[in-house]
Amino acid sequence: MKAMRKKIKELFANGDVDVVLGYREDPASGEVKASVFKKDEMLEDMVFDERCVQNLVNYLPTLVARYSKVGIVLKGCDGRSLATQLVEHRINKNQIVALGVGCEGVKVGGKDADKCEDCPTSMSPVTDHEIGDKKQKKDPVFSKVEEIEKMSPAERWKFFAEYFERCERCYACRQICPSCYCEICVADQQEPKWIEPSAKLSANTMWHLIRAYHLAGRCADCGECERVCPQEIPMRLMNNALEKAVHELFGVRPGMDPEELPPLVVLSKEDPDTIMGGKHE
Amino acid sequence: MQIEKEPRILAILCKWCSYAGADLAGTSRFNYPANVRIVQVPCSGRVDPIMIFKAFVEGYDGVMVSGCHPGDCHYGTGNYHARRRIAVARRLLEFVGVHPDRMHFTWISAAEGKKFAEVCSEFTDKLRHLSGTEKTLARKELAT
Repeated sequence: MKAMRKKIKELFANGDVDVVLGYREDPASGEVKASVFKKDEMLEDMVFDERCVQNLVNYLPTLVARYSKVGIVLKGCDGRSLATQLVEHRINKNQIVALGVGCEGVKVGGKDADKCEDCPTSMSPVTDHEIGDKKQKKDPVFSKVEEIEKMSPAERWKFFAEYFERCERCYACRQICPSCYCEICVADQQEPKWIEPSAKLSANTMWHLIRAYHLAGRCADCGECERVCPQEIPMRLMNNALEKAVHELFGVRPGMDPEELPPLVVLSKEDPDTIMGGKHE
Repeated sequence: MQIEKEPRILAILCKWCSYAGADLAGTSRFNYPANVRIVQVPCSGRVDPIMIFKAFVEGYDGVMVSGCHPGDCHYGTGNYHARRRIAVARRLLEFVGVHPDRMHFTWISAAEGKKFAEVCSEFTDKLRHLSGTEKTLARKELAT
């Protein structure tokens, strides 16, 4: 923490950043919130611990439009999220000063967050300055996805239908997601209307399939969608299933390499036909 | 008496190869089941997985997508994109509980009328053998 404050003070003094995006503990309520630090005087309220759950990357596009140099405090998963935004040219790397902080895991509602269980990296893959330890797992683990995959198709549908039925279509998952930024979302589009706006099972199923599919090969598993969901729909399961699929099919892990293009943007003539399922002569 | 419901199949075919293949099946008078409804798209690269999802949600029992063989795409690379998209969409559908036998993705050229008829009969047969409980995802509001 001290090292981080010192580094940020240095950045402000050298004029390397106009603002720094970080976490701040409200002295009155004790809550930890995302905050924009404009000068180094507020820095004593800056914190970095297990309460810093939010993914700050979601605030970056607004900030880079207003300031020419933006510093950002990054956990491992947020760093992956930033990498996916950089590769899509949504954010210009020259405007960012990435402060990677070794993350020890975060807590949601007093318990260890689910996303930390199979966490691949404690340190952001994109950094200008690194503070703290770097712990990385080489092979991806998707323990929860494998549990679902063991069920029969009918059982799996029963499992998901129960959750889809509950969806209120508040679109909180879409608003919080750094990778969901279409100007007109397919769910809001009137002509053609692919997804009915009413909250019923058929339309909710369409929404959740499309949400997951559009994030295939792009989702960096920050887990924000699931955290903000008022109905606790297990969206990370679907995201992870596709992360696993993309890793098995194309050998890509979104966000781990800031240079690698999303797998559904590029093509390969070498892909075998068997990836589409069935037999092919 | 229980009436066996015939499976309904949506076939999304590319204009240059597979649709022409289906045409050839017709002009050559090969028999194939009437369960197949065909939608023509300009290229298999035009197939957005949202079309496949919608078909299942609207109650189709099976969805088939076919385009030109790899290397033969009229637009050069459309079918390579399609292959990746379909591979991922397939994994997602299977994950939420669509039986793998309800999807069929293949390549059919304009000269393969016979293959088109065979693929359609095989696919329809497979779907006839699936029990009702395996036909997940269809609109609950419409389910009988």
